[in-house]
Amino acid sequence: MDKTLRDADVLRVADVEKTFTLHNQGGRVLPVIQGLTFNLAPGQCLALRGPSGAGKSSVLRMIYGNYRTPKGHIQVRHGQGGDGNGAAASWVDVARATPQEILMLRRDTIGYVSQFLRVLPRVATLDLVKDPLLRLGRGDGAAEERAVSLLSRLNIPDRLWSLSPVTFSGGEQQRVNLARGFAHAYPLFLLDEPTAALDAANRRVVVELIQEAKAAGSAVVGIFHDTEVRDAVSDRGLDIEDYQWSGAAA
Amino acid sequence: MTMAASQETLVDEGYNFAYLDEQTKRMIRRALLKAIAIPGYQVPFASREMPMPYGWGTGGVQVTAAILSPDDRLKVIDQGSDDTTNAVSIRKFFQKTADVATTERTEDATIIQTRHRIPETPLSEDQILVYQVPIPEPLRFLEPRETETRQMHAMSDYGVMHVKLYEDIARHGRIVTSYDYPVLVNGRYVTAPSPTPKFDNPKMDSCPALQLFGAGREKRIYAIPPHTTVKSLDFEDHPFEVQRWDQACALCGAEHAFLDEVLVNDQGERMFVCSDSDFCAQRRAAQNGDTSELEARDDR
Amino acid sequence: MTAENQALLRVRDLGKSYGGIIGCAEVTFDLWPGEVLAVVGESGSGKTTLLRLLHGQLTPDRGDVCFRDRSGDMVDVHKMSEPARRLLTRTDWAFVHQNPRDGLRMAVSAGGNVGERLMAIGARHYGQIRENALDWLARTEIDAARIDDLPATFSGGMQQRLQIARNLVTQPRLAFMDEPTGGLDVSVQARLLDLLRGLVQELGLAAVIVTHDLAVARMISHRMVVMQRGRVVESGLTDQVLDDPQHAYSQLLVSSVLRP
Repeated sequence: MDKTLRDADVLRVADVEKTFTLHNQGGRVLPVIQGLTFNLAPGQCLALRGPSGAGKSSVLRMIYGNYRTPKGHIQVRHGQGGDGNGAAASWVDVARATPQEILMLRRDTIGYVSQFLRVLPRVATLDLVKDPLLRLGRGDGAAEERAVSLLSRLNIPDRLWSLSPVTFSGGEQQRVNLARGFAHAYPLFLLDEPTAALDAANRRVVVELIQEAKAAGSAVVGIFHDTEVRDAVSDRGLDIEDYQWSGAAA
Repeated sequence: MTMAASQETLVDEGYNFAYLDEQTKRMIRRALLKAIAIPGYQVPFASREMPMPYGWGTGGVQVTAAILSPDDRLKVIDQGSDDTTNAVSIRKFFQKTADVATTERTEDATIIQTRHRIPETPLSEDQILVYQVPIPEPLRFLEPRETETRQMHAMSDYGVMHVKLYEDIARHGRIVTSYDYPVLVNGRYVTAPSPTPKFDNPKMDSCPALQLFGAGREKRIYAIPPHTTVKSLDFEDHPFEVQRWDQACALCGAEHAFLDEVLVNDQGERMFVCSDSDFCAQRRAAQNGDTSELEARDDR
Repeated sequence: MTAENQALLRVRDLGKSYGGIIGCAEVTFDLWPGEVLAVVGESGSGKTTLLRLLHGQLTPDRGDVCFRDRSGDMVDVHKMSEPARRLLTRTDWAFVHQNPRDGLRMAVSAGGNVGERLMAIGARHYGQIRENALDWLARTEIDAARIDDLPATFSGGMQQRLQIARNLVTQPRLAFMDEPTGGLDVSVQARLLDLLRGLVQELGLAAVIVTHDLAVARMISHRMVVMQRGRVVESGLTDQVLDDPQHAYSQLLVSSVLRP
């Protein structure tokens, strides 16, 4: 594997600013953050810290392209997959990327596990977990093997695999969500309270999954309220409050 | 009296030759020429009120009137027969208004106006077959809008015709459409053969006689010129087939003619006889070695 | 970026007025192969006018719509000959109406409805047409035993699935859908959407879906445009527009939705 690329950053966030303007509430502006800047290398895990409402989730959503980034840059290295298939790497600035580029990043490079599973009726749990791999063009057999392994590790009983998670409990849905999120070894994981609804045993499994991903070279940006989990997986922390919006742009 | 109307053909004082005035006949001839130039294409024409109700062959009568000359010999058939009410009244109409010679013998006629049949006797190059057509639009069954059917013809957009045949097979296991079976004329226009039985469709293909179609109520004229290909629509695995009968004609013994089933008494006994009365009579006369009966039936 | 960097549909400055009233104006976008674009907005916002302009049913006052045909050439939908456009609409394109009665032949059996497009492009083998029809009934979850039944005997959801089967039998590359789940019960909607989502993914079908239902847009589309008074006021990734709407009208639309 190319040593220089291996050592390069996966994510470079530079001078990012975000506010929400509520046009239907008299144009009220909700400030979020300003001047957010950090880099992340492969195998590193950055924990976002701060009280709720500080904008931690918003940062993850901006990196994922779910929220717009009006100012600053969010550069993501794309094109050299975790399995190193040789495609040349390039930088994509999520703040300016086309929808097609963002969809490509989400398929190949960025994995996002939110607190909630967006459940589709009628899609079986197993198919839900295989889906990201099939989209990447993996064979059905390999995808199934990976899905079965993850669902087993996350203690989803196999009698549930053929069912849609619609009727599952909150904890079960969260674990299905994690299985789906970790199916592919994305170079960059965004984790928004991945263990929020889990018991101690399953929390340990998630910690293992994160550690394995890091060992395989994935970078992680996460929000972990559970300090035990945070201490176990994160290499450094970042206080979002340090980047609180402080008035019209500098 | 003007020169135009002073021909000796004014049989019944007050009628122009063959009832229609000369301008109308010219208008119809122009439509006919266009129809012949575009085989199978429906040409609109200014159909006139005729002294008979719609459905009695007003379209065919107008076409016949437009092409009739004093030297012609006219035969009129309805369901293959020369002596049904419709055939007799149209024949009388032209005898009265044009003093034209008539015949029941297919081979002696120069113009044959028909409803529902093509004669069994093969036609020749110096004959014209005039069809009475109730509904000239073969796409009408699936598409009620005239604007749309005209577009469909223009674009050769004929998928729906096969949908109709598909429905036949799906419901009955075979194509049961047996009258007015759609044909493709000259590889271009899908055309309704008028309600002739599909038994007669093969006779339309490469026919040496000119075939003209008149629809009075619908105000449409179309034509199939001599020696034009006429293909009945079908599927590769359900090819076009004509009707067959188990028995031969009970009167003349014909085995490959179109037969009508007729009740012969109140006990419900029935028999099958040729629908083409002239064809049947000629065969019987030939079998008896006697042609006097036939000659006696000739009107002139 | 990749080999797919050729738009399937290219729309530039499309406009249409009815007298002094704007039907739609200055609409510009590209649609990519396999991409699903939702067009959202309230009634009268110009969604359906846009769809009909794209499909060639309406002629624009200005602007153009170009489609990449199978040989890779960009063809102007409004400048091509009528026969060529008709061929396109029954081979490479699909159109799904909100009311299945507008998209089906109600007097023709389910099998005949599905087979029509094949027959229109020259299929003349009854057995093969029927096999194809059975295959598509199965893919749209309609019982094979219903193949010879008339659509009138079908439920609304089945009729809509039949309309989809009828459209997809020629393996089109682009589908236009006008409120495809509009007239259906919620439970039936979910099934249809899921079916559509699966088919779109499996066939690599690109689609323009007009809907006023943001949940439908979220579930099925990659990208979305928000229309107001005939103009596109916002466009972007579907989840981005829904979760972080920028324009006042988009914010109003999103905040007006009741979440169960």
